[in-house]
Amino acid sequence: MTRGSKVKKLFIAISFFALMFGFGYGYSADDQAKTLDDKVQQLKKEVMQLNRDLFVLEEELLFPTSTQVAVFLSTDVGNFFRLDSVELKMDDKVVQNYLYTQQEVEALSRGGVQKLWVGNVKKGQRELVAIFRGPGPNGREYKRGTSFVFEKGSGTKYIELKITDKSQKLQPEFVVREWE
Amino acid sequence: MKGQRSIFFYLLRVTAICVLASCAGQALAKDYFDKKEIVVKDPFFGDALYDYYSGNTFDAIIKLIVAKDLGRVPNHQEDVDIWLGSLYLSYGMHYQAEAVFKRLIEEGASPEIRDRAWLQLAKVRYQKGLYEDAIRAIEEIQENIPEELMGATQLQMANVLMARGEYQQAADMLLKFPRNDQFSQYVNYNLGVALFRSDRQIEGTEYLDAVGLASADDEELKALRDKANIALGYVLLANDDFPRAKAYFQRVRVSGPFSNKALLGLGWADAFQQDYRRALAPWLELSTRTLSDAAVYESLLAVPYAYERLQAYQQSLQAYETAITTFSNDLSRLNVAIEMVQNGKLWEQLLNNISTQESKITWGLEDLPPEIEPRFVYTLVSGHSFQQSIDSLRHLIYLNNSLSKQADNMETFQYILDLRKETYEERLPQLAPEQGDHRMALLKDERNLYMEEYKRIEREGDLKALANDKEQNQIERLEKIQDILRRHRHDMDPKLYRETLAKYRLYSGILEWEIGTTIAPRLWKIKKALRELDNELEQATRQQQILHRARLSAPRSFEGYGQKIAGYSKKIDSLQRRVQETIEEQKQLMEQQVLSELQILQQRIASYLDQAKFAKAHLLDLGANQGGVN
Repeated sequence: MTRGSKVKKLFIAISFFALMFGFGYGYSADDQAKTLDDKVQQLKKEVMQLNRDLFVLEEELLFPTSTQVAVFLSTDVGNFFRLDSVELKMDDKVVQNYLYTQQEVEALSRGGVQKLWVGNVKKGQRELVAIFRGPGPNGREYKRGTSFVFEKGSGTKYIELKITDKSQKLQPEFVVREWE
Repeated sequence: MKGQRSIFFYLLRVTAICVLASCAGQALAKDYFDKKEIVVKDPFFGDALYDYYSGNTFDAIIKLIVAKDLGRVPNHQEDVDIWLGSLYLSYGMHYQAEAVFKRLIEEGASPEIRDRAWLQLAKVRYQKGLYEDAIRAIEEIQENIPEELMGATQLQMANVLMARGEYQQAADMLLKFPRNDQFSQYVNYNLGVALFRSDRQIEGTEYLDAVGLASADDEELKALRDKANIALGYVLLANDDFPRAKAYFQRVRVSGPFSNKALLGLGWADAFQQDYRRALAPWLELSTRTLSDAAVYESLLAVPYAYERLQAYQQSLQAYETAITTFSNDLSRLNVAIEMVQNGKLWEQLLNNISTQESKITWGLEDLPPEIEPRFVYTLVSGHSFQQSIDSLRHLIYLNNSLSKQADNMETFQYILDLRKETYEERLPQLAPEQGDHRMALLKDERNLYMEEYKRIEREGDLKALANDKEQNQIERLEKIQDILRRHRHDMDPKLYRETLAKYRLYSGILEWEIGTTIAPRLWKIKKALRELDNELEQATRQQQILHRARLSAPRSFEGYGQKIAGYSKKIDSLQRRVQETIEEQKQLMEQQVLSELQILQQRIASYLDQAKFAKAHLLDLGANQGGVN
């Protein structure tokens, strides 16, 4: 066999495999990795269970049913308004100021509902005011407020602020609703 | 150095794209699942989706578990399970995902959900390498299913078959797959590979050729096109079809991630036809490039080999000397890099980048210590297995952060509890329920007296008792007049007496008439007042009972929460220890992988160095014998 053909054979054997399936050098620690992966999965499971229990404990301790009010925020298409920030007032007292990242705005537009604020409120008639800011129609700075009066009873109160596009008026619309 | 690094980051990105391309089936299935339109009917379901879409899968899973356990998602019961299973899967928790999907199926989910669950389960089993089980799961999927689900199922099946080495069956399945969307090039590529592997080279060439000629708008498809051309080029080289091989290599973009491999192949296609002069052009270009992969290293040996074949011994000798210097320098750099890894310096930057937000914890080649050049490890780091290890490490660090946060929360909860206990103990004497009981008993007696009086008035028709304040005043004045008249009857002028008596009788009559004609509303008013009193007393009794219960339960509640907090604190401590140990194990495993990668590369370069030294010695021998090279 000539030196040239030897080179060719060697080259093809190495290069073909490497080029078809990558140039990895083939370290294998599969068994060790699998054992470790099992361990990581078990830990994740236990930490999640713990966090679940603590989530419930936190609600029981800090936001009992009799006083709890939770405010959610959702958006739909967002052609006429892009949410930058929201300010929330409960009985004229500012309870939340939230600035949104691009990723959070996208999460809302994909159907996510943000738990914007949870707090304690005494029984009786209460007023919630939300002020939304962000670029509105034609990209101009837009600020809109909406208020909602509700009766806080002995059960938990869930309120949703929803920003929708009102196609007929080419304007965003801010709707407040109570969840049962 | 900076420019060199940026080339590697680019290569990493493109390599990752290619890894994705080879897993096109999985990507498609996930894409269909993610695109399923979600109408949120329970806010807590939407809350979990918000976290997931914001990049916090961990929080999304916990929120779904809580929402399900507390019955807060009555309108999304099936959705919750399928989402939970999928989120477990994307968080690397295959066992949990499988348990959720199995439960969903056992509980008799709707046909669509059941089929989606089987498909997800097949994916889990495929990822775990349980190919037989994956096929069984796919076989459970009904035939009459939506087109998009059918497509995802077929691609999954093809992936499993290819993983089992059943390329013939995989090819048959992919041949039936409709090519009407953006994934058709990936299907064609997989099909081409499957056909090649089942010895149907002519058909395989057709599909890979189609991919290699397809128009591509984005980087992913361009990379896939290059990959197809490279694969065909090397197949044809192996088949001694050098002109056609060259044509495929020439289709590959000069600046793309596969250009090094293409240049090397192009040179060999000419060299195998004894055209070393032509072979030199791509090899010389390749030899000036960054030493990013085996193709560039090999060009350093290929160039002097071509010069030697062209009998340009002086240039060949110089090129071998350049190669020897380059290989020696890289060996020194590798020695330093190996030492760095052995001294545990690999993770310094990662540990500095730790963030409390899950989506913000990242680690990439840019985080390597400067002594470990990215080109040495990018193949490993961009590989699926290593990326999974990075994910595990990121997740473990996030778990550790989460546990630290929870440990702080426990202190806060305990503080709140202590504060409440203190306030309770301070107020307890003022709220002594026994005193309240006594007051309540007196009030009830009083109420009973009023009721008795009401009954008497009603029974006796006691108009006087029904008079209001003004009328009472008038009655008193009339009674005084009556008394005066009685006492002074004989002293008074008879005429005045008669007139006064008449007036007295008139006013008394009017008053009696006014009261007598309004007995019913007056009695109703008293009855209403008594009813209101009863209600107030009832509410006060309830409050009193609550106070009694609170007094009994509060200490138990404080104690219960105290015990819970203490128990959770212990659990947090123990989990933190285990997580930290596992972080160390994970880091060690990855360090071993990097170390092994570096050592294998070290051996490989050492071998190149030996070859270069041997070839140089051979040339010098030749020169000594012929008197031409020195």
